[in-house]
Amino acid sequence: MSLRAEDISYRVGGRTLLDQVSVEVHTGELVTVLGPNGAGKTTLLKLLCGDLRPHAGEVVLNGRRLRNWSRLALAQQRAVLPQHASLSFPLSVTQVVRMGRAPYRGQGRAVERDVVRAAMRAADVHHLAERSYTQLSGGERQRVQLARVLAQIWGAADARARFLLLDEPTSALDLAHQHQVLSIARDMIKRHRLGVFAILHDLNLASGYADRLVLLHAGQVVAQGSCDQVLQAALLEATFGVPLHIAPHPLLPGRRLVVSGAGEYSSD
Amino acid sequence: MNQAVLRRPRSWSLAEQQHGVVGIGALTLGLFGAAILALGSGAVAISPGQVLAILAQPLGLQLPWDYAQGQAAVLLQIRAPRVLMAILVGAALAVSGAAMQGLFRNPLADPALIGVSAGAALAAVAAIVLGSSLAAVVGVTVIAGVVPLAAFCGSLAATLLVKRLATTEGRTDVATLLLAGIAIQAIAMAGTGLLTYLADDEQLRTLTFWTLGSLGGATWQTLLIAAPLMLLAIIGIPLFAHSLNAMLLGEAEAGHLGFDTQRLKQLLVLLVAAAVGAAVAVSGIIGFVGLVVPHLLRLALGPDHHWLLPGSALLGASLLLLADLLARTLVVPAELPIGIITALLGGPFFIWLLTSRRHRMD
Repeated sequence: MSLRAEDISYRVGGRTLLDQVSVEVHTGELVTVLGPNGAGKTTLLKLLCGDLRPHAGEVVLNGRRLRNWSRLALAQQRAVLPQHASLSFPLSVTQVVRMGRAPYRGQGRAVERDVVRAAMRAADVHHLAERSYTQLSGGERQRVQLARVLAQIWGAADARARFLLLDEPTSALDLAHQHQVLSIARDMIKRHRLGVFAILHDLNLASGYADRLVLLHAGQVVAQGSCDQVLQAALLEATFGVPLHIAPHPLLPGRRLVVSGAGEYSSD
Repeated sequence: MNQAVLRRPRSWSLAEQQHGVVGIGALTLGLFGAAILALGSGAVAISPGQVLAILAQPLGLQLPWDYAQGQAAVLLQIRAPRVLMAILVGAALAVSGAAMQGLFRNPLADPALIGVSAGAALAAVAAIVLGSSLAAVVGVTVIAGVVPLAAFCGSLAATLLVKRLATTEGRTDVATLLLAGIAIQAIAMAGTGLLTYLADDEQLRTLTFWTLGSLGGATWQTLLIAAPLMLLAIIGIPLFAHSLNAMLLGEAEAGHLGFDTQRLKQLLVLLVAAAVGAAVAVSGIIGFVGLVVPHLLRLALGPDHHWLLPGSALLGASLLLLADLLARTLVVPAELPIGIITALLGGPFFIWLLTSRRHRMD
């Protein structure tokens, strides 16, 4: 079971934003997309979730083309965490998280209540249940939105494969909350039939949590594979245009540590 | 202890439910009271008991209050259509305002903002001023019926034009919709101004009716023409409560949750155009109801559209009923345009809103 892009291309006004890109996410893994601004990361995510349609190629979810999915069936199969949530009305945290159960209307209040409660627990916002969303801090809001999308793809009795797409989930968060969000994603993968696709900017965060990395540059996949395969100094320097130094992670075997702008602090 | 924590969301949800039910109940009672008060007030005084007795008579009920036949005639022929019209117009404007605010995720949105009211008014004014030369040919009574029809066509034309401007490749962009609405409104106001300049004295008096609003023209006949369109919105828009709640999260987010946001936008804009067009057609431009009423209710009941939309209909009806009562009793035997009263109440409220929002941001 997978979410797969097969040779997809996307153009806007004669400019090619994505050029024959193929990526896939299987259940049980966290795939991270890296790349400089304008590389096409967000476009790729929008194509994978169905917001945009590719001009060439296909997006395939669990063996069926995305365009053949009904709106509702798709909503039960994949959730998308936005980069910036635009909610500016004082809904309570519970009301926001409960919105994640919208694709399952008619499944009964008891199930809804249980899932909403479990999702709030998983995202560590259950103590905020009665608070107004607009009065929360940026980190708390992001976790509430995370709880909402977790509730949306919470594995019920059926064991269908579900997918979670995260658009720079850590961009507005401090260090502790960055790790918390990715830990929650990892934990969900362990406990549900879930695949996660995340855009990240922090190479070390990606190195620490991802099963596979995809490196995107100017609309094309430059490299994809394990940390060892993708986090190569020459590859990253060519992509990001910044001098880089790469070392083995002192604590995590098989992971790597990336130090950027290495030229600045050379001793001579 | 663990039990208490686990149970919290459930009791919370129940409390919310009770809060909403109590709120809607109170608003219903309020509307009932306002209607009895409005039906009884005026040049011919009718006590609340007499009002109930007169209304119960056609239902075959005998209530222990005596009334004169003249009172019954005034109530049934003059006041009842006007009161019903105030209820429908108030409810339609308030529900439309609440729907626009949810759709645009902007608590300051109003049907006037997307050019609907201005388009309706321009068409009505054009019918009044340019129709006078036509009236010599086809007769004055025909023109009187043409004006509301023109208002409705104007609102629909403005809405479709704004929507067309904001739609590319089948997708309607909300920000462009607002900006296009402002542009259309400016053009419509310029047209109205030009026609006002051309109008003669008698036409100017009729124009005041359109630009300041009045329910003085309400009869059973006009009510019958305008009611279906307004009822369509008052009953239809609350059916979209669930979708509008999801829209609060953001348009893309609502789409990811399985909602058909394109269809939602199109249906709501059409429902609002129909309701506001019909309202302007029979009562002219009455501002601030669509803005103030949903705001007050959000403070009292919260932003959940399941309560907000029916609540707005009830409170909008009550407020316009009371505003109309003031309009026709303050300067007897003359009447004030109702738009002046809603603006005098709504303007200061709007300023309070702006300052309290700024304080919250500080």
